[in-house]
Amino acid sequence: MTLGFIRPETVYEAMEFLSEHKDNSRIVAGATDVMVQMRSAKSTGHAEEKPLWMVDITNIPGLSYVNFENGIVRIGAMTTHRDIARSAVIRDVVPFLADACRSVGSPQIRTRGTIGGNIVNASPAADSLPPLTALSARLRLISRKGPRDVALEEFFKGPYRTIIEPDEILEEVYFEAPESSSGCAFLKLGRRESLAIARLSVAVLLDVDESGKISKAAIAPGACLPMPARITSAEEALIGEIPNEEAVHSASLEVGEEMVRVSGVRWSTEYKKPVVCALTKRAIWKALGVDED
Amino acid sequence: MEAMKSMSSFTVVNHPISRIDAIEKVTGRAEFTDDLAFDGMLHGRVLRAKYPHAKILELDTRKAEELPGVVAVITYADIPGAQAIGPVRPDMPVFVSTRTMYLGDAVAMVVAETPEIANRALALIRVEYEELPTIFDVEEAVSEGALQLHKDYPGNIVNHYPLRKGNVEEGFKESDIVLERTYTTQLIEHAYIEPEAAVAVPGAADGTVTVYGSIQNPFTARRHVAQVLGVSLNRVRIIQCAMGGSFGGKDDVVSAICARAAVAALKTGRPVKIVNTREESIIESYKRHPYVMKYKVGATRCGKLRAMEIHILADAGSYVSMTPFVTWRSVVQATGPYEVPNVKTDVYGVFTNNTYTGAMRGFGSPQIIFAQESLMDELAEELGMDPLEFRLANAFKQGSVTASGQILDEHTVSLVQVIEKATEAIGYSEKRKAYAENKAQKGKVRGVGFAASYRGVSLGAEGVDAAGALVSVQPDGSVYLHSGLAENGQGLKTIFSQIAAEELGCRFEDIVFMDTDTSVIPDSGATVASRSTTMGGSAVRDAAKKVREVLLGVAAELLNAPYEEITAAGGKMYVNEDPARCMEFKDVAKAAYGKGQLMAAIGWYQAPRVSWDEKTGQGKAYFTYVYGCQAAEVEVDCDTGQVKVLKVAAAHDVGRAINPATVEGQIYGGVTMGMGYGILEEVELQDGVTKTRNFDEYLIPTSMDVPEIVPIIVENPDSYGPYGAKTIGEPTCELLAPAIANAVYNACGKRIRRLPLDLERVLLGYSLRAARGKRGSDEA
Amino acid sequence: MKKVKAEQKKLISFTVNGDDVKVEISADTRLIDVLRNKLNLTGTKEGCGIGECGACTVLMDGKPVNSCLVPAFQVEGSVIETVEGLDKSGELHPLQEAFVEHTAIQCGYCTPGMLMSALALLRENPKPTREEIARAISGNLCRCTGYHQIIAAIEDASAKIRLSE
Repeated sequence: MTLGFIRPETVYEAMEFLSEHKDNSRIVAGATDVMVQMRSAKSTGHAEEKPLWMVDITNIPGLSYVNFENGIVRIGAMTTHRDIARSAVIRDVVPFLADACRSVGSPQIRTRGTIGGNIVNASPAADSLPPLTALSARLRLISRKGPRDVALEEFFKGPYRTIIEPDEILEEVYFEAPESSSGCAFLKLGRRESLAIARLSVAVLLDVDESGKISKAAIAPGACLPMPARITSAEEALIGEIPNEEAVHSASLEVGEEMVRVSGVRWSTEYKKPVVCALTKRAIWKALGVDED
Repeated sequence: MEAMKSMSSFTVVNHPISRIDAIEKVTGRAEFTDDLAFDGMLHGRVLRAKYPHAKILELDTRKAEELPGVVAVITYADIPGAQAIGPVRPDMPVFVSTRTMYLGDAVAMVVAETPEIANRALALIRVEYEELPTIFDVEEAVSEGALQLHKDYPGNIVNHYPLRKGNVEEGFKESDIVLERTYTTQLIEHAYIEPEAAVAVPGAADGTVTVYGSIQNPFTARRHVAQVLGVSLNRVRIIQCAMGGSFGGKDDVVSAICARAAVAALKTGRPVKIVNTREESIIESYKRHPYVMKYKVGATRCGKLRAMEIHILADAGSYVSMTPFVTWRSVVQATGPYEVPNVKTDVYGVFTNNTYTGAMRGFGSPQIIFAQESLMDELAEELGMDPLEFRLANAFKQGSVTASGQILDEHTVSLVQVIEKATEAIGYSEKRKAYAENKAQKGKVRGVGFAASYRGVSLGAEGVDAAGALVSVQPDGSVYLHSGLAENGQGLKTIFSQIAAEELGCRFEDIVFMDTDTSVIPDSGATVASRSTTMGGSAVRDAAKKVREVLLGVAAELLNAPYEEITAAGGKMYVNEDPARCMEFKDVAKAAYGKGQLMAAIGWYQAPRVSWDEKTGQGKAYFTYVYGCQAAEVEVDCDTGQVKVLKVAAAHDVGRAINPATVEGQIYGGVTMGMGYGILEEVELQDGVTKTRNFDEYLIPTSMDVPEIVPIIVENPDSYGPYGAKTIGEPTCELLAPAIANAVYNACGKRIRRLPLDLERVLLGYSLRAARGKRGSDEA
Repeated sequence: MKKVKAEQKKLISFTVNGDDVKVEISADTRLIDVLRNKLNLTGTKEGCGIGECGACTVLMDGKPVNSCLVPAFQVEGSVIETVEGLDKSGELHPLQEAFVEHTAIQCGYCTPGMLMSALALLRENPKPTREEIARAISGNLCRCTGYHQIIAAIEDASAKIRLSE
């Protein structure tokens, strides 16, 4: 049930409404998550959800863009997965983010779903989060109180929960473009090839120096932690190493170990632990440009 | 398409003609049930059970009735006639009154001006429940001292079919090797893209009603609606709308929906529409029976089967539904298409509080084929024989005797033919050896496997098997065709029209196929068991033949030639010896009309006699059979448990392909459904509560999951079918799951005896789904 | 400074298959409801309501969307295309012809959505590979056909369209 809708034409109007209706507003962008969540109460004829105002931000210009300037890539929160997957800049500078966005849902979902929506929805299985985490991305939130910059990793409180205030809007996600010498990879494992939620995923970003040693490493798994995070212990296992099977294996094992450390042993652990290790290995080799098949 | 234009000697039949209903479907103009609207139409929304097994202590609908826009709230108290319906036993209440038996039971229905008002009113209905103890596991249900779910069914046994041939004790003694294995299959959903829907419109005459709906079996629906309303059959008219798929699934559940709509329509005096959401469809509608199958098989060292002992528990869920018929097919076919001199089979339908199970494409065959085809590969391995060699050594041949003692000699037994074609097309023999040698269990490995089956056509000894059709030629030569069997989307209208055109001698385009209307055609039974081509097609042919005779008589007069020397084909009637002496079909019709001739006929076809002894399971179970084999190449990712099906070759003997293009369509679709059964699909119930409520969790294959499929149509014309045609609908979806299981074994040495072969099962050997609940731990 | 109001109902204007329309909607109305119930364009189907089956696919400003997930208040000023627009000229669109020829239709329920996804594909990729076709319809579930004849039809249509240009 909705109380009604408002289609602000400026960010200011949106923030004003949100601050006046803090307790019962919902931001609507591509609506692919919102519409599904609102339906679940309706469909079985049992208890109703709290009625909300729909604050539609799709009429606000200037929130959908991909910019690359001074070494920083900035993506407007309203940019769709489809546009990010096709963006020449993203495919060139951070192809693993394009791959991730390309793997979301289906063509229809990608037309409408936005990266901002993906971030704020905060599903542990969200596809764009592992690459953004590996990139140590930052977020720009705005409200009537002004802008606030937050590291992506600090944005999440738990599954589906973030620190966004009820009157805040996510405006932009940005990150430093990796060195042109770096390699990246995103692998997603789903139960089928399309319309699939990640069972597990992993994003890897690596840089190798002139001596052939791994100088930088960022490893962020998806669908196995309550909140997106880089696995620093895995990364440390790679730094300074000339890529070799043993180091890659140790690093990969660490991802599974960290998953258990953070989430404890759950019903899915028996499957996820060895598989996230295997996927991480593959992603590391892929990021290094080695084709394992 | 060029390659498909057959070198057929037929004019219309055996050609890949475009579907007769294609244009309306491709323009979006085809009328599916929810596309219909009537003046004053109301919307019905159902309140369903909160608990799978509970007493209903109190039901208070007053607040809901008072909501503005609500016209009525229907409960069991509003039913004038029978409270419960069912295809075999009327045990499923249209609205429950005293207790719920599964989560999908309907407690009440709000009828309102809009669906939104109806939804809001649902929340205002108050129901007080007292939860009752439950059973969700078949083995628990049949165990000593288990809770009795239905008072007339001791031990929770719905039915028991025994089959006894020879002496299995002797057979096992004669065997050099004896294997015992248990195979298990899962609860699955038809997943037609169109959910169930019906609209009931009160008739002008008192107590009459017309129900439009997505109805697989119009005559069954009519019978049930009439029973519930307490009126004679001729007061209920069922009209089938375009159906968005059924696969066996829109039978009893839709009869219940039609009945609810009809009761509401007569009570309110206004049309009432009910459309299920996907969640309601998955919660309410019946599913495919999960089976627990214990097989014991004995063979000699040189690979000849000597004995099989089979024990099957089929989870019937909360109501009887089609369980007796589904399990009957299983008892007939459980050994697979192999010569086994000694057989002891016992199949039991068992009640639980899970979602009730009923008809689904295959109808008791996919489960047993998974077991038997996995077992044959396992046995071959134990014997050190190639699985293909082993099959061929035991396969049915002309004159073989089945487990029920039937001699297979009235049709071409083409089992070996289809096995050879399918396995060759996939390169089975060379690949199997090569893949088996690769012992690595890391990374991506490939494997091949196949499965073969035989399938009895039509209903067999299950029941009355006859069908009707009506052909009516109009004065201008155009033709109406009515059939008692209904279009489910499979192409029935098209092939029946082809048969009619071929037999009548008119053009395909001259035929208009009328939607199945129970007030026009005699009860032809259900559109099930892949019986349409054989039974319905024969009835169509019979009707067309009768009319053609009349027209030929008129043509003979006008062409001044003996009746026997005139051929009717492609819209013309001509003298064989002198084709220039001809007339247009439409002119013959016009002339016949002018002479006062009757140019219409009802065709009827009754199935040839079959037999069955209930105590021994011996008899001529089906009047004819088809044979099929599907071979698959898969790639298993040993590190993730992912199974990719790369290529499938599917060889099916259809007797005669009335329309090769639609037969291929059935093959592609059936293979894809079989793949879903094998690696993706499962309706998860946790303590009887449906967890996988929509397509985000109930996964069916997408366009990016389907393998390369090579359809191989084999034609050995059958004496019983029209133009020799037999059946294709179900054989195509019963084979791929075991072919995949066998291929996975070839790839990585893992033998998985439970479906589906999902990620966890392939990686670990057992499933981890949290929803398993009381089903107990899995064994590999 | 003009201020935007919060609303419960609104009269929205947009185009459907080239025609201008005005429809009154409320906050709960979905695009699929507008098409089926208010404009009587029942070709677009509902199969799941959560964007997982694609039976409700239409084109919105040229791109494929699940109309069951689009709030009607976002449709203001959009260009919507549905299956009914394909043969508006009175002749079947090459895609429709190809579907008929290739027996790419069985029950027909997924067909409108499939056609729209295919249309979007061919407009921006006139010579798609089979993989690209499979990907373009990967958000449209079909339970009847196994997709093969649909993919063949789309491939054939793309060739016919290229020939006619």
